[in-house]
Amino acid sequence: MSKCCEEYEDILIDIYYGETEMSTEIKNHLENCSNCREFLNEMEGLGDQLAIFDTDIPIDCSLVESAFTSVDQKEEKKRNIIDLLIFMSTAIGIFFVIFVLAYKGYGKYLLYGQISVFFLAPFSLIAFLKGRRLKEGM
Amino acid sequence: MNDSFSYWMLIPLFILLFIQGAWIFNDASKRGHNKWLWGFFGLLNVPSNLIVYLIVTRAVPKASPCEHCGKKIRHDYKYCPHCSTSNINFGKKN
Repeated sequence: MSKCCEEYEDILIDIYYGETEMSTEIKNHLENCSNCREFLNEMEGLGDQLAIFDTDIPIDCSLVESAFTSVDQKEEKKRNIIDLLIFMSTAIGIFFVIFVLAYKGYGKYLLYGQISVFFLAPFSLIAFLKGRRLKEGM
Repeated sequence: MNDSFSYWMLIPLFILLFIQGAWIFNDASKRGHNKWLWGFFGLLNVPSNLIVYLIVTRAVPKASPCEHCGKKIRHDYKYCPHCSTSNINFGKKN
């Protein structure tokens, strides 16, 4: 059974990484084929060259953690700015509608609404404090 | 009431409400409160809603879980009222 050099090269890669053993068939092919011999030599030479750079670099976990935290903080800040812009544009929209209503002659009712909210706002304090207590599970 | 007076008077009011709402929204988001609720609440009235916001978020101390029993206790409690261990968050600002 004859195989082309490309198939042998795949097998040689497996042999180099210790996934397959060198069989007599491959040994015979290497003796006869100069291309595959050169391929194996190049691979081994490259492995030796890379071994020089294969040094253990100590990884500072706290540095990695702080990098992740800073990325999270930046993303949160960005999200907050976007939310603020959405809020501002919504507020402008609401004010525009109120202004149009006031222009159409409903300004008197809006003023009454403002006055009633002014006097009712302190009562909302009770609801907010109760809500906070419930949220905190106290 | 003169109509032209009433609607033009709304402009400075809107500016104040807008600044107040935006500030409350930003502050609530920084402090981890419900920013949308507080933001829209801040748009309703000036300055009573701002006072309500400041009381709820500043005057009432925050609560954190107790290190020993896990139940939530306020930061102004020196000891946990549930298990009597000392509160590590005692004195922490809101």
